[in-house]
Amino acid sequence: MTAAVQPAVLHRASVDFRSVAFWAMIAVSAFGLWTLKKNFVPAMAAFPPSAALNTAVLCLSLAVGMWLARRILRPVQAPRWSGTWLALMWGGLAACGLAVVLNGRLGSVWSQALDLEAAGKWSAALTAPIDEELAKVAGVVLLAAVSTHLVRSAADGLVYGALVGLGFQVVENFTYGLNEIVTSGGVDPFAATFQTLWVRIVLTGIGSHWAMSAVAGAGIGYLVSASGRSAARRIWTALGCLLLAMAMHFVFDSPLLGGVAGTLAKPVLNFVIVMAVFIVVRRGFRARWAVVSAEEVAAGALTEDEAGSLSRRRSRRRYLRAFHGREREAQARLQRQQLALLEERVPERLPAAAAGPWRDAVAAARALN
Amino acid sequence: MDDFKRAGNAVHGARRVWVPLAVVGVLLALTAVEGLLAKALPDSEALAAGTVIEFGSDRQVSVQVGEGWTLDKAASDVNSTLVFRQGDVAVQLSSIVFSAGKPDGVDQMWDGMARTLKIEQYAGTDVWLGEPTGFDTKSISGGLYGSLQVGTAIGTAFVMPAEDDSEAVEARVLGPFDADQGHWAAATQIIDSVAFDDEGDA
Repeated sequence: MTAAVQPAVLHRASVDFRSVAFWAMIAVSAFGLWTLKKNFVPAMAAFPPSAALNTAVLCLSLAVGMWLARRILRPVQAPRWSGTWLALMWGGLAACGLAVVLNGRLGSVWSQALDLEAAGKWSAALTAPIDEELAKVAGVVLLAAVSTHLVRSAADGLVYGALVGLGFQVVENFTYGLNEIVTSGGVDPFAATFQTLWVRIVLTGIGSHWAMSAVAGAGIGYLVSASGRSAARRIWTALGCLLLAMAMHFVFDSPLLGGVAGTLAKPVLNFVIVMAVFIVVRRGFRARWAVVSAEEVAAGALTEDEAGSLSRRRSRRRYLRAFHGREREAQARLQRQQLALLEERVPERLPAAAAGPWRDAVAAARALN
Repeated sequence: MDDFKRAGNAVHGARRVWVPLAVVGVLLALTAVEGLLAKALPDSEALAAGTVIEFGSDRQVSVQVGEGWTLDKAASDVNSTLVFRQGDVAVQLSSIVFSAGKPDGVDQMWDGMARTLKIEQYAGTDVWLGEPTGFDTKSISGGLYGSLQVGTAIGTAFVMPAEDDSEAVEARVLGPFDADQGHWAAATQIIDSVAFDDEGDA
């Protein structure tokens, strides 16, 4: 058994290319791309310098945002790259493209149902929280169905939700950067785009879509996690998180707390809320991590020192610094297998015995040292 | 060992088929319901003769309509744009605030409008904008107007600057070639009624 299970064998592919969810994500993202192309490529062709600025800022903000989300928002280790790219794709293409269609329809409903003044004040706040939050959170649900290994805890849901929201946010910034040219009369297109991007990234970016979707995503992560909690509790928590994300979006878009101070306060409020959710989620994840670490130490898969070094990126690096050359490579391989084992143990309802192959892989990696 | 059949989360087994189908179904249903609601409600609202509407980000622009006009509520946003219709003729008024870069006179405003029309050209619509000519209204001086064709609709484009050039109203009056002359004349009256708040107060 041990000889047959080399460390590489247990490296899980985290995306099932045969799954319905994967192809649903691809299909809806293709639709979103088509919608965005139809709506915004003409403006890009008409204003190439603004399009170039927009593209450069999109790439830069995507890179920085992705690094921050992957580095900070998931305890112990970053989310998988495959899930990261799928989340960004869904947020930037599928959710954004859907939002263009849905917002046009629901915005029109409010314009027709309310008087002109009320529609002007409240239409955005009554439209975006419904359309955009549902479109974004659908991506986290689909990620959970792409493979049973991408979203397994509230922590996974939070980081993938943040990545979906980040994808949405950077593409929406791109579209606003183009729209502002028209609303400012086409007089100084480059300055109009620059000003919009500056406001949306520097002033309000801290508490925009990524924060709202992270909250909703944490709820989905909790809902689908094999955490041993009752279905009713998981459903109500997920619903609560989605409603909280919608409420954050509502306040963000509403005329409440108007003026410059309000414009600055709303994203800060959203940031505080998402950080509060993050702290709760992180604490839960770390508590579970500590439990399974202790169990695996007792089972002999880890030593006390190894378990102590595994839970943080910095302590893992520090632990490896004690080794040199091939020994360090071997230790790094062992560390990866131990991380995989503990990640496998995070879902509480999976019996500890189910992680047997991962324990064997750790033993095999240790034997190679 | 098939990794994907080992339940690491609650979306396993048959759920991995029906959950994504349900998600796509919900999104499709949302799209359909919102579309049906938008269609079920009346697009436009008839306006009484003499109705004054203030619009723009600070409601700093006012316009008065004559008899027989309807407000296209679906296409209007009081923060920026109003669309009025009478027969086949449509009047679109857009409040423009030059927050990013102040133009050096009304000619630059006209050039800016011409540039934004290129978006429609790149989208595949035939657009033609004629040379501008100066005009004044009872409230605004130093405006420009010129012939405009968008697709099969013909008409006139207007740029009406505020006194300090910090903002403007851009207008399009468009209709078919054989539109009622009375409707064109009524549209001109709407353009003539446009006023900026400060000018109205003065």
